[in-house]
Amino acid sequence: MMKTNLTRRELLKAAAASGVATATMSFPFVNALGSSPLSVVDWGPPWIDNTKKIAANWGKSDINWTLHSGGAASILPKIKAAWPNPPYDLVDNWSPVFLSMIREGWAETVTLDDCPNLADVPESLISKDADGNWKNIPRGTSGVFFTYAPDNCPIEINHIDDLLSPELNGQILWPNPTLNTNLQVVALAKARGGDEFNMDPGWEFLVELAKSGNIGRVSANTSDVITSLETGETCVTFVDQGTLSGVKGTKLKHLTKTDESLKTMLFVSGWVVLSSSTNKELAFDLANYTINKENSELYYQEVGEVPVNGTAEHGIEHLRFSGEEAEKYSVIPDWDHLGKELDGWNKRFETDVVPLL
Amino acid sequence: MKNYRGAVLLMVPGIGIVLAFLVLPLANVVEESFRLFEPGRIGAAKDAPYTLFNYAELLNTNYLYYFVETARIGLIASITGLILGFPIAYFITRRLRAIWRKIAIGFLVGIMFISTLIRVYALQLTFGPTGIAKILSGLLGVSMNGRFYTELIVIFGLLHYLVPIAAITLLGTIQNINPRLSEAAQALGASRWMAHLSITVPLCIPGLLSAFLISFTLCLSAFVVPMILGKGKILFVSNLIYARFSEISNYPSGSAISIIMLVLSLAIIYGVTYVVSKRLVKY
Repeated sequence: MMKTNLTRRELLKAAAASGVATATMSFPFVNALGSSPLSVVDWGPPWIDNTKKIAANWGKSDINWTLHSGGAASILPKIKAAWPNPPYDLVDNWSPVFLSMIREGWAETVTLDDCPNLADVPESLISKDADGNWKNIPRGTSGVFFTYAPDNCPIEINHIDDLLSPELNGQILWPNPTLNTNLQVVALAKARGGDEFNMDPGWEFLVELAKSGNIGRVSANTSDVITSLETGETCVTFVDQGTLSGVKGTKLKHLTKTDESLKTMLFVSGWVVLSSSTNKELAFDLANYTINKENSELYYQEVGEVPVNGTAEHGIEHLRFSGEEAEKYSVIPDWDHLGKELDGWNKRFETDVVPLL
Repeated sequence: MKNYRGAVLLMVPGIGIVLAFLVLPLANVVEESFRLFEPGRIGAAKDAPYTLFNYAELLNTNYLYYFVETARIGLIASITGLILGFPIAYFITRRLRAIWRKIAIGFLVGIMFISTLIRVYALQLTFGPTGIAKILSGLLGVSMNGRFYTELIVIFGLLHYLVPIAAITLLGTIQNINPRLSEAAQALGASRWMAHLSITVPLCIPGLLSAFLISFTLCLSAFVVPMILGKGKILFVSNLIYARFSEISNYPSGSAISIIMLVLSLAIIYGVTYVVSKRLVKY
């Protein structure tokens, strides 16, 4: 029988030595993996599902995922609170929020060396700072427009004034001003002869709508929209194409090219690499990978936005406007103006509209 | 003198924590509330001038609506919570055997540990469009997307955590009342209800006041319940504060609403305590 003479002191020495050895050996391995996982902010499904699938194929880093909660601008105070060390590298966002991030100096400049696939993207879609530097990596263009579920809706909607029909009692899902940067009231203003610089006609229309009792719910996020339309709680709303991709079980009719009173607001969505990021190279690499031809087509199929990569194919007919149709039915709003007015519009919604609901 | 110094030294860590985590952040909010906000920015600029504008704009009568609505719905829910919680507490204290009393109290405490989100989504599933909303609203003769039904569901949501809290708060109060007082009143000819209403309930007023104040304070600061069950049509002041901070990044305005809400809440609580303790509690 083998006899062991291991004392307690020897055991402790051996444990300490093996601990040091393990730690020493693991350092190069850790360094090879990269300093820390990439931190990506994205919207809920379908966006995050699509990005996760693409990131899994990319596979160059672990990723910590964060979801936008509420409107896309709600990430801004979180970045502000933690600046200059926010825990994010790459943020998925859209036109109005790009401008706020550029204004704050948070968006890293992008070049073709960082993202070679931007060569296939029209330069007009890329947000720029005052010096003309590129500040984002666009992924898709899309629209925000009125849509309704014909099977659940008591009337056919052909004109903006149909929203005031008494038959639509409690059937309208109205986005609050922080969703879509209040484009819904810009759309109402457009229908009554105003625009984003003259919003009074739009607010008067919305007050009429609130008084009519037709607004059944005020949506505050994408899941509100999907749940409300899927369950038949409401049947009409003003929403972006990406969110509608999450509505699977309810047939919808998109009112993008039906009447001049029902306008579609066009925007760009995509990535911003934060200037504070310590993982810029990886962040640019992932952003670049998401906009190659194959992934742009996947983005169209799963998220439903028109990919900005000119080589990618898509078939979103209701967002494909001819020159004449674009003139009649679509609007490209002044995003900078919208961003600056949102505070006042939100207060006006609180004081003039909510008490009537 | 030595004991006094020792007591002060023992209090230093506690006072330090209160100063660091309560007073300092609150002072920060007060300071922010007087800063001028430039739309399009994230919060006030570091060198933003001081202003009273953030408070002045709340004088708009339509903002009063939010404070009144928060207090009104909170009041309805708190009183209903007391009405439902009192018999539960009475039953547990006076009618149950010791073993069942422990189980019942454990159940009430257990309910309080369930996440608010779980309770709220359970209510939404049950009383929302996927549940019995159509049936219930039909029985009540109202629209399931109408104001009345939505407000009713918000009150259900508040009651979900107010009833256990009210009942638990009242357990001790009822336990401490000598049942022989009520029995003596009945021996002198009072009916059971009369004895209950004229002896037990008045003796419970301090406990009822505590339960009411806890419930009402919780209602005033309720955030998740109106946000999820209110369908965006019923907004409490806390929802306005959230929108200011998280959705439009107007920290100065959010801070001003927070300070007003804090002052009003304290005033209401001190006012109610004063009135009840001076006028109603005679025992």
